[in-house]
Order: sequence, then C-alpha cells, then structure tokens
Amino acid sequence: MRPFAEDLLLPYRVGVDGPFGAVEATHLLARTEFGAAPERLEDVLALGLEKSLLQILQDTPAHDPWAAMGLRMAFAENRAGLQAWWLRRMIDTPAPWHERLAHFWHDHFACSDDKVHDLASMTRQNLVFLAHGNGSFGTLLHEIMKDPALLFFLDNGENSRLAPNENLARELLELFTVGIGHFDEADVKQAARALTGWGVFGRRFAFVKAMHDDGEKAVLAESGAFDGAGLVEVCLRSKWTAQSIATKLCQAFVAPVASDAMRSTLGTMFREVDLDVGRFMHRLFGSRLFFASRDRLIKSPCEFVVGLHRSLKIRPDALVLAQRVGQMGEELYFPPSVAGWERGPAWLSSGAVLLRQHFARDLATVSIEPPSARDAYRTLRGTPPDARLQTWLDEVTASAGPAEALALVLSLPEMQTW
Amino acid sequence: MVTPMNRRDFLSASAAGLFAPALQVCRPASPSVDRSKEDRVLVVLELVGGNDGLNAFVPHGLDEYYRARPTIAIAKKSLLRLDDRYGLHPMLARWERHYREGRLAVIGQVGHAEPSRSHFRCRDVLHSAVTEHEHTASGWIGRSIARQLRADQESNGQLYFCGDGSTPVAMLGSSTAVIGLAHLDRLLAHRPDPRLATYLRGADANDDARSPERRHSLAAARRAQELATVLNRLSRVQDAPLRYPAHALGRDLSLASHLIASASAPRAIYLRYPDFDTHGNQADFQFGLFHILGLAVDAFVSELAAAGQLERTCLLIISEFGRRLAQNASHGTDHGKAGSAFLFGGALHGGWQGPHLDLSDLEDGDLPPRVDFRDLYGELIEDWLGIDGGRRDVNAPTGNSLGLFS
Repeated sequence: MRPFAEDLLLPYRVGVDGPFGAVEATHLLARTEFGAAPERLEDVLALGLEKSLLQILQDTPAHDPWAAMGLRMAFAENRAGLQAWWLRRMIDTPAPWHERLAHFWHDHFACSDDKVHDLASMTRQNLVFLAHGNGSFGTLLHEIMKDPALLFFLDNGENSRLAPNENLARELLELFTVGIGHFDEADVKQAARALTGWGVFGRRFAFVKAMHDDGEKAVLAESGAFDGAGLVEVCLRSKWTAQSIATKLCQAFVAPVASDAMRSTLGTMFREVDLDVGRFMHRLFGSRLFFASRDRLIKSPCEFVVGLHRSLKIRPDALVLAQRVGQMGEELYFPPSVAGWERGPAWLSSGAVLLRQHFARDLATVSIEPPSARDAYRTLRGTPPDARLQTWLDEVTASAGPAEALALVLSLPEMQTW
Repeated sequence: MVTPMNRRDFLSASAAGLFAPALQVCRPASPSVDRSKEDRVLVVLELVGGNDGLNAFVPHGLDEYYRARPTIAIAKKSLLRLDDRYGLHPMLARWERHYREGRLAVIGQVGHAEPSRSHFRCRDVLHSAVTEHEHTASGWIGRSIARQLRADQESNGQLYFCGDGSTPVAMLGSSTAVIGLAHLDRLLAHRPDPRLATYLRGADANDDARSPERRHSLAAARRAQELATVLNRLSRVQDAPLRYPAHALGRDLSLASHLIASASAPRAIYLRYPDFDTHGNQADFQFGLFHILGLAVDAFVSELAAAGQLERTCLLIISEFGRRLAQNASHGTDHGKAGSAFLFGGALHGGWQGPHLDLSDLEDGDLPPRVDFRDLYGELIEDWLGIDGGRRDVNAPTGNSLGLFS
C-alpha cells in the first residue's frame, strides 16, 4: 500500500478519477488565472486537461508592454499609481499565471517600501518575480539575493567583516529557504559572514571586497569559504529548502498542508524536477489532490478583486481598486513584515468581510453592462445556483432589480473561497 | 501561521440571532466570572518588532547603560527625570503626569525563558502563551473568554481589534468571534443588508459536504452582519479628534476609547503599532515612534478619564522581546530577551513594579526575564477581568502576582 500522501499526488486521470467538466475547469482557471470569463472556460474544456496545463503554465511569460510605464510611475514616486499599475496588469495580462506567481513571490520574499523608500527598486524587484518566478527556484533565489530592495530592507549593506549584521542571514534561513527547526543560531552567524560585502550602490547590487569575510564557514553541515553565491548554493542543496518551498507553493495554490508525510512527499516531488517551479506546479495542478481541493483556500483581497474583474469582464478603475484592496488588508508593496501577509482565515475578519461585500455592491451597481446574477454565479462557481438560491435571487430581482441581485450574489460567503 | 479554526456554529436555530441587540453590560451571569469585575475592559497594545524599553524608561543612575550605548543612550540632560533611578525619553513627556498620578505601572524585565530572538516565534509565544516548542492556534485572551461562555453563548461584542491586518492570535479561542474594525467611515457607509442576513440565516452551517474554509467563510459572513449592527450603534467618530495624533495609532486608540464608552461593552480590545525593530539608526526611529506613542496613549487615557471610564480600563503595552543592552555597529540594537511592559489604568498600583533593572546581571549580553509574561497575563485575566482559572489558561509558570490590582 502506498502511503496516503503519495496517492493524492498521483496524476488525476480524466474519466477515471473524475470528469474534466465545467466545475473542474473553473477550479483550474480560478487557481491558475484568478478566474475566467466564459470564453476562456470553453477554450480550456475544448483543449482538455493536459493541453490546458501546458498552455497555462508555459515557460516564457508573454512580453510585458507595461514595464516601462511601471518604472516611469516608480521614478515619479507615485505609490498609488504603482499599485494600480500592478492590479491593471493582473487584470489585463494574457499570461495571468505569471502574475499569480509574481504575487506569491512578493509575499515570500516580502519587502516593504515603508523601509526601502525606493519605488524604482520595488518595481525592478517585481519584474524579477515576473521574469523568473516560473523557472528554476535556484535561479530566482540567486537573483533575489542580489536584489537591491531586499538587501537594503534586511540591512545587508551594513553587514561587514568587522561588524556583522545578521538580519538577511536569519531571514534567508528562517523564511526564504530551510525554515524553522532546520538551522541554528550558529548557522545564522556563519551565514552572515558569508553575506558580508553584499550591498547596494546607486540602486544596484555592489560587492564590496573590503567588507567581505573570506574565511572558512560552516553552514548547514557544509564547510567552505562561502561568499553570498556559495551560501545560496548550500541552502539550495538542503532538502529542507525543497520541502519548505514546495509546501508553501501547495498551501498557496492547492490546499493547506497538515501532515509531515505530505510535506515530505512534496519536497521529494520538487527535488525530482530540480526545483523548477513551472514543472512542479504542472504536476501539482494535474494531481488528484488538486481536484479534491475545491474551496480549500480563502481568497486574498487581490485574488478576490482581480478574480471578479477577469471573470465578469468588468473594466477596473485601478486607482480606486488599489485603495480598496489596501483597506481590505493587502497593501501591495507594503507587506506587514518580512514574513509576508497572514494568509487563510485571517483575511476574513468581520471588518474585512464587510469591506468585500461593500466592494461587491459598488461593482455591481456601477458596472455598465453587468452580467445577470445567475450568469455571474455560474461563471465564478462553475455550477448554476441551487434552487433555494435561485428562488431568492428571483425575488430580489423582482423587488429591487438585477443590479441588487448581482450585488448580493457577489457578497455570498462562497465567493470568498475557491 | 494561523491554522484554520473550525468554529462552532454559534447561532441557535430559533434565534433572536443576528439582530439581537448588542449585549449590554448585564450579561447573563457566568459562574466563573467575578460579577464586580464584569464591566472591566482589557486593552492590549502590542509594539511590534521588539521595543527597546531601556530608552523609554531610562535607568539614568546606572553607568553600564551609558557605557554600553555611547551614541544612542538618552543623555541625562535630555531625559525627563522621574526619580533617582529612572527618567523618561523626552518624546514620552506626556506620560510623566500619569506616572506621578499613579496611573502608569512599569515592569522592567518581562519575558519568557530561552527565547529564540526570532520575531515570529516570539510573537507566536506572546500571543498564545505556550512555550516555543509548542504550537497552538488559540490565544491567551481568547482561551479564557471562550471558557467562561456557556454552551449556547457566543462572545458577541466582547472581543475587538482596532487596526489593519489580520485577527491577532491572542484573541482566538474555540468559539470566540473577534470583531475587526478598520476604516470605520467606509464601514459605516453601507447599511447592513437585511436580505443577505435572511439568506445567511437559512444557510446550513453544518453541511458536511463543505470544506472547513467554506464553513469558516459562512461564519465570518454572519459575524460581519453582527458587526454592521454594532457599528450602527456607534455614533460617527469625529474626523481627526484633535487630541489624537494624525496617525493610524491615534485613529485606532480613538476608536477603542469610543468602543469602551459606548454601549458595546467590550471585554478586550487588541491593537498593534509597528515597527519597533530598531536595528539601525535607533535614535531617529525612536524619536518618531515615541512621539506618536506618547501622544496617542496620553490622549486615550485622558479621554477615558474625562468620560469616567478609566477606572474600568486597563491598557497593557507589550512587545515580543526587548533589545540588547549594548548598541551595535549601526547605532541601533539587536534582538534581546526581556523587555518592558507598561500598564495604564484608573484602578491599578502605579509606579515601577517588580525588581529594579540590574544591568550588571546579564545573560549573554541581554537582560534576563525576571517576570514571566504569562504570570503577568494570568494576573490580568484573573485579578483584573475576574475570570477564574485564568492563570491556568495562560500557563502561568509561578502564578506569582505583582499586586497590580489588589
């Protein structure tokens, strides 16, 4: 008998383990592309599961026509404009999977512009996530460990041979790679030595040899005269890194992970694809676990808002959107700490729920050509409303009009999970 | 970090349900609560990041302090001298009056044994009051509040947090409902929708076919309806009440003060103020942080006193750890162990509580904890809020009392 966790991660066989119909396709498009309008759903159903996965998770992100605009806004220190820029990208992009990942990596390698105070660097970091987020995790980690915003955020410019600063070393081990329980204080100290001299000059990465400690270090049971790049390689070789990242990807895109057996299996799977994110997610999205995980995740404010706009094809007022998403608790470029945002049920405080309902109401009543409540429900959930809900919607439409019915549908609790 | 909670469906089938009036002060009697303390409120303000208390209440009489901090110590001529031992950081000047009038208590070396110096682990411990090797998704306030509820009762209107961000774990318990308030104006802009309320009431919360997350979303939607009802009872908070600083902390404390004075009868309110993680350039950061902290807390305490509400309020100000005695190479301080806790209230014993600071007795360069924060928590739950068994709920190691409320 194979262990349970491994069973769940086996491929989902269409026609054997279950169908690939509107419900399954809606679920897939929700988790990979924030949600989908009816035409997109039809495309995916026509392609079938395997070809859809290939198309959705393709390696190279589409050419980004917005990069220049973002940098212009960043140089103008236009914070609201920059948030709006990213939300517009998420809504309009033809390659939404890469935006899903950029959003994920922003939360994983969380830097806040509150401290960085340089929107241009934050923008460049954002573009690094977009360019490298779906490829080799090793490549991404190497890139991000030289990212000026991150280095500045975690004080590594002040980490020198004579006066080490452990901030970046600690978060590299605790948050970005191996995780709590798989390193100790001695590792932190040694890792800090390896990272000495990695700093920022003129908003760019700069290695200051005079500050670097080039002696022998012992980190995570390996020894060597590691510099920053060497340290990154040590972290990548640890199996705990694979496990930690694989688990986090599963928790962000598939379902909460409760058992050590599952964590371990995910780690093995990630190592089998050489820590390539796109290939790992292909296996994960094509697994039995994925198709058993409908409604196991609670949408973040961004995911909720972008999902509504993409699925219902409602044109956004991006500046207002950015403000409302921030009020719901997700201020893009300003994560509450280097550990990112508190995910899951924590998104749904009573105040946040009211704000989401109010947003839904505003969206429904202001839209120029809103879909019917029934159509909106089916697009977002994959199935039409049940009898009780339909009766209620009919009553509301008759007494208060279609916009009210739509507002109420978008305020339902099931719109907060996917 | 917070594991999903399966909350009991707290609505009974018949139910005055969603539109029950917000619970007034005369709550149904609960056997384990001291009735004379039933209207007391505990407000917790967490200084996120690790506050350096040594620069707040400065031990100006100790040479070690000046030797260890050549550039970031508060000079004797700058600080506000309280007595022979301690002085206040100049930006906390507004607190002097409260200290002298006995409304401010200070405990200098609060912490827990063997802290990891990790923000996240120490914050988990601060909220859940377990050791660093354990994990739980419930909090030190939530557990006690939950325990004293009867089987058919919910914690409507007892637990709030003011501010942005997610529900503090400290408030979570097995059937507690924590009401989060932020952006009050936007929340008040829409009336609660009775049609949605009707529909939600009929939804079957125990439908086993649903995922735990969907059940949670349903429960959250119902709590949100209650919140909308409660908010309707609050008269609109005035725009930028003049005495509070124009800052999120001012907004949040003003809202807390409003809640306490209203008919909502909260038991506990949680707030957070980041970011005290002053690894570098501490002098500048503390100047700003203490400026806001000083003004906002003074405004809060003064407003409550003027409204006759200070006697039933206790404000605890605490942080996940303190900072090292010696400054680092960036004119800042790194993570330490024990830190300071401050308490404001109209019915407590003010002044310096517990042992005086001893900067010659350090552990690895840090002030060791002399008061376990769980003993402090236990005292707040049992002696202040009057909930029996509170010390057990928070795993108080010694059960020692500082005598804050006797």
